[in-house]
Formats: sequence, C-alpha cells, structure tokens
Amino acid sequence: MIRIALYIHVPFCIKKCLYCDFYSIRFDVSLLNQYTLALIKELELRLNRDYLVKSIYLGGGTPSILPLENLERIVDTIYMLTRLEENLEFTIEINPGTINKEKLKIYKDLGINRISIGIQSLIDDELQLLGRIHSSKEALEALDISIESGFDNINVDLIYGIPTQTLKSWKYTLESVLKRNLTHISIYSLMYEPGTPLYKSFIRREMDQMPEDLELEIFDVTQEVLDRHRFFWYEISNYAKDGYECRHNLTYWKGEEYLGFGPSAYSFMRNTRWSNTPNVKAYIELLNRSKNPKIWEEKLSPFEKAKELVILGLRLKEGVSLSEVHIKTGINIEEIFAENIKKLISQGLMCRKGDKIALTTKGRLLGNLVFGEFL
Amino acid sequence: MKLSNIRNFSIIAHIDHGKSTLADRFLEKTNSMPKKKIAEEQVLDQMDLERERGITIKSHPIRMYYVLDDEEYELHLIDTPGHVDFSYEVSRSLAACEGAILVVDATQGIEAQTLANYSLALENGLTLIPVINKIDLPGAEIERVKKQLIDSLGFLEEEIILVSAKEGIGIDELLRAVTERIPPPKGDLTKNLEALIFDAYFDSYRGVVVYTRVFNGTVKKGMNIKMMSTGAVYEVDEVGYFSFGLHPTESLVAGEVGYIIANIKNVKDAQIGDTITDANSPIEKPLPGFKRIKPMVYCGLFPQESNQYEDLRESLEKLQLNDPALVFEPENSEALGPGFRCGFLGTLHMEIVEERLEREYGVKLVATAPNVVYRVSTKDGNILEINNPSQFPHYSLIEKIEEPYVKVSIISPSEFIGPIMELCLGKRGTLIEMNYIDPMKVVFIYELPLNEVIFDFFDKLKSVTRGYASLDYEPIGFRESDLVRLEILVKGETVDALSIIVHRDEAERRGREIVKKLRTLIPRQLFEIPLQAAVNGKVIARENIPPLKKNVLQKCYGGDVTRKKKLLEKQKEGKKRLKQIGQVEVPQEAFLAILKSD
Repeated sequence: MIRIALYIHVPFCIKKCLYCDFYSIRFDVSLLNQYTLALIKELELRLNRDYLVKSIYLGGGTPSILPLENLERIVDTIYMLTRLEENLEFTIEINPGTINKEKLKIYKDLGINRISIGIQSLIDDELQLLGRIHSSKEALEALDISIESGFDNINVDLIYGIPTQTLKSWKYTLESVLKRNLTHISIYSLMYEPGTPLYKSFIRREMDQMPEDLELEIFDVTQEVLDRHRFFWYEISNYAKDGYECRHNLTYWKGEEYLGFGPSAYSFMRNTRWSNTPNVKAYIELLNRSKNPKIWEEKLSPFEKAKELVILGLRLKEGVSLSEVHIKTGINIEEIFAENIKKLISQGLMCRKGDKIALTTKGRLLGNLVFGEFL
Repeated sequence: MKLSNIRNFSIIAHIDHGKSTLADRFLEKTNSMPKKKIAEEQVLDQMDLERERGITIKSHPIRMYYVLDDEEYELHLIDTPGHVDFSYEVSRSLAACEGAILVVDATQGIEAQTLANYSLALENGLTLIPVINKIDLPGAEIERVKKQLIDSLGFLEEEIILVSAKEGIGIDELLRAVTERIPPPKGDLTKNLEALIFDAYFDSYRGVVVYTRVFNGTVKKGMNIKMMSTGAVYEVDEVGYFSFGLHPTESLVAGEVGYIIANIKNVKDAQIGDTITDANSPIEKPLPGFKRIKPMVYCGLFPQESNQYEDLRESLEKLQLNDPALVFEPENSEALGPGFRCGFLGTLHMEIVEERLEREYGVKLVATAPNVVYRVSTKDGNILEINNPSQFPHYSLIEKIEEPYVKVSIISPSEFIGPIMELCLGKRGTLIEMNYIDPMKVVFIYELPLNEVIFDFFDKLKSVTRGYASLDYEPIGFRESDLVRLEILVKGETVDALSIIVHRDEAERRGREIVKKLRTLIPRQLFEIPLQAAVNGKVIARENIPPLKKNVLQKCYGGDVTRKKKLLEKQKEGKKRLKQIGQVEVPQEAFLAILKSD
C-alpha cells in the first residue's frame, strides 16, 4: 500500500487575476464537460486500490466554478477507484463570487471537510488593483456561509504588499477574518511575477512597489496579531491553529509522494517528478485516445533528493532532520555542507535543534540565502 | 621587378572617409581580389572586431600588379587605421612608403585626423595625392572641399582627384596618379641588407612573421640575418609578399615590402622599428626606426578567475608583439588580486585590447577605470611617475602633482563655437587659437589635461555638435595641477581599485556621484554597507546600502519545486560573478562606475 496525497487541478477562471502566473484559462460549458471526462479518464488510468489516499486537494484555477454534477462525478470516481484513509483531509479552493450555500452543502455531502477561500483583501480598492472579480462584501459572505454550512476547518488566503495598502487597511483585513472561526491562514506578500499584467505595469512605472519598511512593519504586526489569536507559524507563508496544519501541503514540504491529475498537474513518486501537459485542449485530446498526458519528468539522484529534502524542509518551522535525510537518501548533508551550515549559523539565518536545522526568525525573511547554500 | 616600377604607398584619411572601400576598388581593378571575397566589403579588415565596428585597427599591407601603358607596376598598398589612438600604426606604415593618398569625404571636408595624418605624411617626406571621395552622394560639396584643400593644405587645384570609391568613379585616374606622381623607391640591390621591421605577429607554428620594407640589398631563404638591436642571428626560412595571406617568393629586394619568417620564437628579437641586416656582412648603423611611443592611458586588467593569471600574461605578450604600443607590468591589487597594469594610446585602444584578449585569447577580464600618468614631486625631493592611483604617496608627503596636457585640435561647423568653448572651459581647457578653414568651418586649438580628454570628452563633444565635430590630440608635456586622490571606502575599507585622481574643485561632486552610483550597483547584503568618498583622509560624501531584509520565495507547493529550484540557481549564478572585498561582495560593473560622469 502506497500512502499518497492526491491533487486535482481545475485550470479555469472567470477572469485571470493581474498578479497570477499560474496556469488557468477562460472556459465554457462544453470545455468543462470535456475536461471532466478527460480527468475521469486520467483517474481511471492511474489510480488503483494499491494507493491509500491521506489527502485530496482540489486546486486551481477556481475549482468552485465546476458545476456540481461534474464535481460529483469526479469525487465519486476517486472514491470508487482507491482507498481512503479514515481521517482523510479533503480541501477545495473556493473563490468569492463563485460560491453559494447550495454548493457548500453538496461539498459537505461529498465528504469535503476543508475549505480554502481566496479572500486576499477586504478593501475594495485593493481587490480591484489585484484584478479580483469579487467585492470585499462578497469575500466576507463566502467566509460566513462556509461557516454556516458547518465547515469547521477553513483557510483564508491574504495578500500584503499591495501598492495602495496601508498598515491600517491591512490590520482591518486581517482582524476582520480573524473575528470569524478560522483554523488556518496563508499570507503571501505580493510578488511581481514576470509576464503578469501587474509586473508589466510595474515595469512601465504605472505603480510602485510598497516601500520595504512598510512591508516589514506589516510583517511584524501580522506575527503579533496572529500570535494573539493563537495562530502559529509553521511554514514560510502559513499559519494554523494547533493541530490544523494543512496535511496535504505538508506532503510537499516533507518531500513525500503525491499524484497530481489534470492539466499542468505535477506528481512525485519513487524519486521521480513529472508533469502533465498544461494545454487543456491537448490534455483532453490525449486522454480521449487513452494516452498518458505526461510531458516532462525528472529523476532525482540520491544527492538531488537529499538537497531537495533540506530546501523544502527548511521552509517549515520545525526544520529538517539531517539524520532522517541520511537514512532516506544515504547522503550525509552534515558532512558535505559543513562549511555552508557553519556560515549560515554564524550569519544568524539558521539554527540547530538537536539533529535538525531550521530557519531563525531573521532567516524566515531571507530564506533564499539559506536555500541557495544547498543547491 | 626593377625599382623604377615599384610603388609603395598608403591611404590616409579621417575615420569613415572611405579608405577601406577605396582599397577594395584598387584590389578589384588590379585583379588582386580572391574570387570568393568579391562579395565582401572592406576585405582587408579581416579581424572580427574590425568588421563589426567598421574600423581599421591594424595596418594591412598588400601587393598588387597593375599594367599601365604596357608597363607592369608592382604596387604595395598599406591600408591604415584612421582613429587618433592608432596614429602610431599609421606612422609606422608611412615609414615603409614613398607616397600616400590623402582621402577627404566630399560631404564632410577636412577633419581633425585629416590634418594630423597630413602632417605625419609631410614629416615622413611623402608625396601626397589629394583625393575627394564620395562625390556621388547628394550632400557632396566638391567645390567647398576643393577650396579647403587648396587654402588650408596648400594643394594645387589640378592635383586633386575626384573619386567615388563606392561607385568606382575616378579609380583609373587615381591609379595612374599613383604610378606617375609617387616616386619609385630608392635603394641598391648590391649593397648590404638593410630592412626595417614595421610590424609583426606571432604564429604558433612558424614563430614571428616580420613585416618589412627592404631599403638596400636582398633577403632570401637560407641567408643568415641579424637583428641589430639584440644582435640575435637567425636563418631565413621563407620570404614573400602579402596578398590575402602570405605568398612565398625567391627573394625580397631593395624597395619591396614583404615578410620574413626565420623561426623566431623569442618575440623580443623582432622589435618593431628595428633594422635587419646580413649577419655575414652587416651594415654599420641601423635605420632611424621609430620614436618609442609612450602610453597615454593606463588601467588595471585582472583575470576574472585568479587561475587565469598566467594565461593573461601569455596573451598580453603575444598581443604586444603585434601591438607595440601596448605596455604592461604585474600589479597586485588588494581588492582584485594579481593582474597587470596596462598602458594604452587611448581609450579606444584600451577597449580594443580588452576585447581582443577576451575574444582571441579567451581570457575573462575585470578592468578598472582608466587613468593617465601623473608626475608627483615629494617633499624629500623625489620625482615619481605614477600610472596607478593606488600607488600615490601619502598626501602629507606630496610637494606637487603634475599631469599630462595635450594640444587638442577640434574641427567643427562654425555654428557650434559657443557650445564647444563652454565644454572646453568646463574641462579646464585653455584656448590657444581659433581659425576658419572656410566661412562655415572652424578649427580650434586648445590645451587640455589629458585626463579630461579621455574621460568623456569625445562623447560630450559629439553630443554638443550633433556629431559634426572631429578631434585630434597630441601630448605637450606635464603641467602642475591642484590634484587630489579621491578614495572610496566600502564598509570602512579603502578599495584600491576604486580610487581616482581628480582636480580638487571636482572632488566633492565626483565623490558624491561615485558613491551614489555604487549604491545602486552593489547588491544589498546582510549588513549595512557604508560607502564613503574621502580626500586626504577627510570624508566628503557618504551613502548607505541598507541591509537586505527580505528575500524568500513565498509560495512553494507541489508543482513549484522544480521552477523554484531554477530561480534559486539563477540567484546563485548571479552571486558567482561578484568579487569579495573584505566582507562585501562587489560586482564587476562597480569598478567602471567611476568612469562615466552623468
């Protein structure tokens, strides 16, 4: 039996956000149906009862735009084909403006037990600047009806570093969501990813980045507020109430195995990582002919695997156990990177806890300098 | 070939007036062009760099045969560079000739290097043929340029030949003038060998290939020759002439231009300007040779990877053989490690050498900003010539500092008189003379510190005259100036490779500019980096690079791992190109930051 996490990618959005460089496209009903059929085909081809699924994650894109009957067929297929762990974590990402009580009720009936809401901000100007399709009112509504529908494990995504954002507006957003009954919160600083409209307007100097001092102030205030609300930092961008860390995402950071389905989804199994074609039409076409939609793969050598375990594990508050890495890969990181480890510790970016190495508070914001030493 | 049928000549001109195209036409007319080359332009400029930049860097000798009135002539053409930095190449080529074609662009008229090359040719006693080129262009002002040649250079109207090298107009007439007006070489085949080395390059298989002009006697294979400056004797392996490569012949005789290969592996034995004679019956006194030319501009060249130091030394030695104006000596920089202090004729020469080292010899370089040579008198009565700002004595020991001055001639349309005078004033210039070549064109003579000229003078001159002015300069010796050493401190430590010499009045402005520029060039690091500019131990400008506080990949989930690893690798690659100075990592661009003023 192989214990895995299972990811489903739903690459459709009503409108792409201005900062987003993830793969998604506009859609119509017929395309959604073809996609659903292809996805079911892929599940049938690849899943079986040798797998024990510990978590399912429906990500996107915008999974909440899937018509309910499509979603039901997908979920039923998974349940039919494979084994599920008893305390399965089953998350769906939803976007305000695409959700209602009826949908949420069905989600619950389908066994989904965790909701992740892309709220980003509760200030309308800021939402507009990001190119979000919803208002702040709709965002809060999505959160409230999720709670009303009986979900007791809810994540909210927020973004700071928006050019017009102030300390006050950020505190308002953060504290407003924390007044509700959440268990998890993901906080990202706005990134200007090359190729996105946001990046282009930054290059054209139509907008300025938030001054770094303000960004750092926001960061500090955030820790303080979250601490007060008993949310604990456990990964670079993630905070949770005790016991509510996202088990699905921990799979990635711990270098464990997962299978991804849908266009552009990645899988990692037996030290090999591979991805599906990102092109929805190609994906559908390939699966219509029962062909594997895989377009790329890389096999990690034990050394590469060991380095990856360190780089990913360092994202976690608990850090990474070097003896575990040694046992899993046969690679002695301690020895090979002795100089780098010494340097990072002396720079105050990294610390040791027993046989584990982990980021310091200072290192949390300078993670790349730490990760870069283990390439 | 009898002497009376040999002609040795050069083409001289201001840059871009069409020398190399004219050379192409000669080659075609005399059927000297190899078939496959016909489609190419400026075929003599064989160096990649020359072709890319559209300029001639080296002199190119070539032999052509030309039949006129049933008489066959042997023409040796030496195509020469036009830029002021390479006038040394020109003067060496001229020493091998009896005449020269002076080319002037019909749309531009006389320019600064026209005058400079004209004087050089007269000093060498050459017969000149004035040519107005590009007469086919719509902007050609033939009458005006004719008048300039007559009034300013003293030519007779009937001497001037009108040519379009591009269209092939006037080429026959010009070739006739070459044979009729330029005197044949004098010389005596029966006398002892007397041959001038005017250029050379190193061939890794055959040793030095010597470019020579034979003045008396004959040189042939098997003969023992002696290099007069070192006394070294070699047996001649091969002699020949140039025509797209080397063409071996029986012998080279008095009056001819060609090459000698004699298995010369020690490059010091083939000094340009030296005289070659017959080892068995040597002449008594060598030919006058060339004025040793002193470099005007120095900079430090350091290998990017310290293990390339030896490669750099060998490359410089080989390059020097072909480019005797290049000088170098080992330099050890605290900041950049071991490298060489190199001297050049000008900043273009410097750029060319740097590019040739990187391209032809595969050495990756870090270059420091260029500077001139200073003469420093110390309080204890010593006089030092210093070509490296970091070698300056402590300011308390200095009595006075002198810097090299140059006489600059600027030729420009008269509408730009105002802006030019303003520019020269700002560069500490003194106006010596101003004359009109014709009512529309004026020539200025200025005296300026060389340092101001190499800095960004030419760019500024071009910009205030919309590209119309031309420039030439020659050294006129040292003058006392109120100069100080501007030191740059990075995190409290003086960085030797960043210090420069400036005029006291300019120190504060330049200091501020440099630290401001460095602030943008040095990446933020974990700690604060104070940048200071100081003169005589006193800080005059300061900037801070704040510590790096945030650099972390926000999102990293399943599909991202590979992409994120690539991003991290890219960041790491960028770091590799930094030089560690004390605790601080400094990018190479920083060392050139002190070059340009904004």
